[in-house]
Amino acid sequence: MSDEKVPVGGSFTENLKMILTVVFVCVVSAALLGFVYSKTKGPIAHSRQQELVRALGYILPEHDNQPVETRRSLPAEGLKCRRYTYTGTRDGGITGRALQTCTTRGFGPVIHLLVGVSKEGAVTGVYILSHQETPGLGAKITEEQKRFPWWRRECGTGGCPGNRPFLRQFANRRVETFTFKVERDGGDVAAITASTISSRAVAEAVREAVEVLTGLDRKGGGR
Amino acid sequence: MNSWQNFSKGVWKENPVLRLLLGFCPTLAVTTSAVDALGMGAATAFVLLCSNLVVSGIKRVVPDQMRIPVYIVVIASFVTIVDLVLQAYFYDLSKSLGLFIPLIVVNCIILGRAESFASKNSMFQSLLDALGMGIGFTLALLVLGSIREVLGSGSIFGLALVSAECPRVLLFVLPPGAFITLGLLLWMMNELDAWRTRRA
Amino acid sequence: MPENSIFSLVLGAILVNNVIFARFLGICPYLGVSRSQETAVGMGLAVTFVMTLATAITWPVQHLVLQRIEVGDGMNLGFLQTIAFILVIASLVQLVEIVLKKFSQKLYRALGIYLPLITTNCAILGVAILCIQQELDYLRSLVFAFSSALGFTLAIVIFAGIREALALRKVPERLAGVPIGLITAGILAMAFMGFAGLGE
Repeated sequence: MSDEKVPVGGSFTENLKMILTVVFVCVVSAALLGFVYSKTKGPIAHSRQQELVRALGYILPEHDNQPVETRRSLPAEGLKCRRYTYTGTRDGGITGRALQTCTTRGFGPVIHLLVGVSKEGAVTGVYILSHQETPGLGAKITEEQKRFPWWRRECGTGGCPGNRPFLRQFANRRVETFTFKVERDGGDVAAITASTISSRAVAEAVREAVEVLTGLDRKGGGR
Repeated sequence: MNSWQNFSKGVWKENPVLRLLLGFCPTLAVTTSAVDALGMGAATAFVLLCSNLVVSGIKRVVPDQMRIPVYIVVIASFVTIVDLVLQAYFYDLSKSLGLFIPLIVVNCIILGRAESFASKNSMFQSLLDALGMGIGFTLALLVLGSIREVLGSGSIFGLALVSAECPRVLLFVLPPGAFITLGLLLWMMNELDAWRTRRA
Repeated sequence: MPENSIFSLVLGAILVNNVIFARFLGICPYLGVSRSQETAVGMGLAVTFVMTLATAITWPVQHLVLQRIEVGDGMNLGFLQTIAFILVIASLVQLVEIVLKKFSQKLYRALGIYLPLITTNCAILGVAILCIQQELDYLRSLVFAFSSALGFTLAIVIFAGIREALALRKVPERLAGVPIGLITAGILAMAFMGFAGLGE
């Protein structure tokens, strides 16, 4: 955008030609994009779901169904997201549930996470779907401990899921024996250095998820 | 200049990032790891290639006053295509690059080359120009990304180089590190130039 | 103070997640237009004006147009976001330039020269997209845009002041200009990192 201006006046055909050219280019672009979009729509939805499928596979206890298919909504008043539960079953019996929820109490706008709880009420896994915490500080909630030396790769290119130290500490914890608060608040959760806010947000979210999921079991399974 | 010079200038002598000093925003933002740097470089190079070709192809038909908006529409279309393709087939990369994929459309390099070269040269030469610039951009990003990843995370392309206990210089993957590393890199380029002229 | 309050949004946008030092948006004008504090202030004002106005228009475009129009099963025109936004911004800048020229010669002389540069300022497009990504409502989007622009102005004015002082010192020739500018920006970014946790 420089100081060239559309000449006021100018011949009618000149102006018409200009407008037509722009319109033509826009139409061609829109058509091209529409085409590409129609082709990629499916794969995009699939990719988005793949992450969820992988996460559920990791955090739920042994199951032989597709938990994604068991999605049920929960009321989520006051939350920035919708809440869903997923159920893992084996041989028809429930082995565990997962809650997909979010928290705004972290440092960034919102953290989306999945919490898996076994039928007995123990946490089986926590997976952070997305966050905008500070890199190097709060972002360490998802930090992986990279394998060293790198040629000893036992877990393939996806990395080892169990390698996230902060989230790993929630494994097998129960509300009865573990206080889901950061140590600074008198609990048992080891916070990330200099990132109490992010750590606290996750700890609270996990605690709430456990309460919700065990409450569901008491009520006799999902809505 | 001949075709070879036209191509190679983008890689070194007129490297868009290190010499022309363009496109700093993505350069600083996505070079926290070598993989992200490579991905961004490839995406930008693709858009540059396509837009240079199209702009050169339609240069006779576009009225002069309308050329900037038209170029913008062309560039934005290719950026959207890249965005959709990345989301569909390279989902993790698209999440790491995030906001900076749509921002490719305001990358001064692309509009700059369209305006200053593609609109005045043949399609073939525009193609070479884009290829050279694209490769140069990717290389610059790769160098920066590798340095920052090795020093800041102790890994390269996601593969750990040092044990978990070895301290890393976290600064390099944080914003200040981006500025400082690029600044030092540009300084070294200047030193390199001076040394070569002294030798000659 | 209550989370998600407007105040913490403002503080966050200006200091904690400063557009330049934390988000890497708007680096090109930052390095290019900061040789003197006067030009820096001019650029800052122009950016503030355009950024707020741009967000004021792009937000409704996204929420009332792109997301409302159904296209095939359950999908909307969201994928046209990049094109739509950049066209809005480019047109807006053109319009502002024309209006300024016609109605206020004084303002035009003060701000007008920066306007063409602003179209390719990734900060404008970046902030517009961020408002959508962070799912802010209309009022918060405007506040966020305005505050981000203030943060940009703050950064550029501080930087210009330092550069003016640097110009009076003897900087080694090969370090001068952009390299030392980037390193300075890195140190400033480190300083701004100290704001982390503010507003919680």
